[in-house]
Amino acid sequence: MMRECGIVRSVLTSYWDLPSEADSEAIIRFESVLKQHKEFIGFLRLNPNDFMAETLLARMANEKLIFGLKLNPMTSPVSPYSINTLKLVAVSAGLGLPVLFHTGDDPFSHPLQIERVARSCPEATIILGHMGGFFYVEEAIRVAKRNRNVYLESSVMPYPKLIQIAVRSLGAKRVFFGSDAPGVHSRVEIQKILSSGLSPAEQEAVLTTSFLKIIGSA
Amino acid sequence: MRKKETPGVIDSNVRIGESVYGDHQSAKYYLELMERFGIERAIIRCFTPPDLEFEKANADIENIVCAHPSKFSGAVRIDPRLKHSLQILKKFAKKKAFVCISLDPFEQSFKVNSLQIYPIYEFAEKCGLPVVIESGFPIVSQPSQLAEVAGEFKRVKFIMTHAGQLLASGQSETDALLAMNENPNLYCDTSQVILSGIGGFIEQLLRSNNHNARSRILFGSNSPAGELSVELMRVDKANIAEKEKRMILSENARKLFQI
Repeated sequence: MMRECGIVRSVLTSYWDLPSEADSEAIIRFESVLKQHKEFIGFLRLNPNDFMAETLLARMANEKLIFGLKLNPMTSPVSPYSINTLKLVAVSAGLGLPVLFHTGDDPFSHPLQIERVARSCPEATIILGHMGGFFYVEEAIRVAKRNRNVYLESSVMPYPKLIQIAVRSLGAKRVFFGSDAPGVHSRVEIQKILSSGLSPAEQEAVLTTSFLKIIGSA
Repeated sequence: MRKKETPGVIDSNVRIGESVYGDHQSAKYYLELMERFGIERAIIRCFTPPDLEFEKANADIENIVCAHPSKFSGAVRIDPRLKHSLQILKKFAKKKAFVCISLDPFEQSFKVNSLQIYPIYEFAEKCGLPVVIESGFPIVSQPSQLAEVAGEFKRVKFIMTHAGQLLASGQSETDALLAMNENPNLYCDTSQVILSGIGGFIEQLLRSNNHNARSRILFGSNSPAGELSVELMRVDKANIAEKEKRMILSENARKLFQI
């Protein structure tokens, strides 16, 4: 799909929070894929309540296997501003890793809830995945406007014109393209960016350069 | 022998007019989109009008359909909370311009499975018009609620817009699949649905094909909220056969709305 859609690099996460002990094979598989395919940028998906989460995150970051943390408070399930989540986000910030949060329409996933994380850990780079989903895009944009450490990622949210509104409000440097593949075909998601009314320079920033800037050496 | 022409795309979910919530779309503008994207015909409905007068808004839709009978068919939209809504429905449902009934439980704030709404469904059953329901909204129109209504009114054809899945996590997918598989009178449209990836909703629904599910999926853009190039691509990139795409894009809507 990457070849078909002209995608040169992709952030890769596991489907579910990676358990540290119960299924070590899942971790080995994830590591193996990342080692074999340099076009993937690993974001480790963890449950903040997993007692080995911090250790696993630090090890894989130090081995340059991952370049970010992925949290889905709804599936874990754990409040995005629970003590354990905040601790893990702080560790991630200390390692220089951005944190990609699932956001949207489910419990524990509202942008206004994630804003508490952004404010508690101002040193952390927080990405609002799906930029608020179907119903909370306006809130996601406002949260990013209020917090300089918050960025938006465009996948699944279905309305191109809201991507334009986000870019006009925050600048193209703070809005990233994402596909959420395989849930949505990447070409559909690219078309959203192309039809959102952005200038070519803004499109390039959203599709490529803005994200590369925040992940640094990946 | 003359080559059989491929039938054009039917967009089963379009709004025309002005909304109390600020959105708007003119018939002229959507006609331009139809031309640009190869849409042959569209089922159009009004927004919730700024003055909340659905009778006038439906009359506007009727005028547009009558001005462009080869391009548009109408959906009569009402606020079922109001006593006179059934009268409005009866007035417009008998007109040739209208081929279905449209309900928006989110904007009009009612649950689709509320007993208060049942007279609307009873009327739909009597007059044989399908009922399009804005679906996927928390509390008011989740797939399981649509399934309950479809089970109660088995002779009414219901269309679950967005395949009931306005949920970025995709967690309502299973409910939507169950609803479709268990209710042969339940249809869905593709607008905004997370369907185009490998193993996406439409692919799963087609593979199960309970009660001929593949004949119950309609293309819809939800224009102007949905963008046509993106929405068409959701079907184009779905991992399904070309014949199935044609059914979704055209044939199913023609049969359902008899257009």
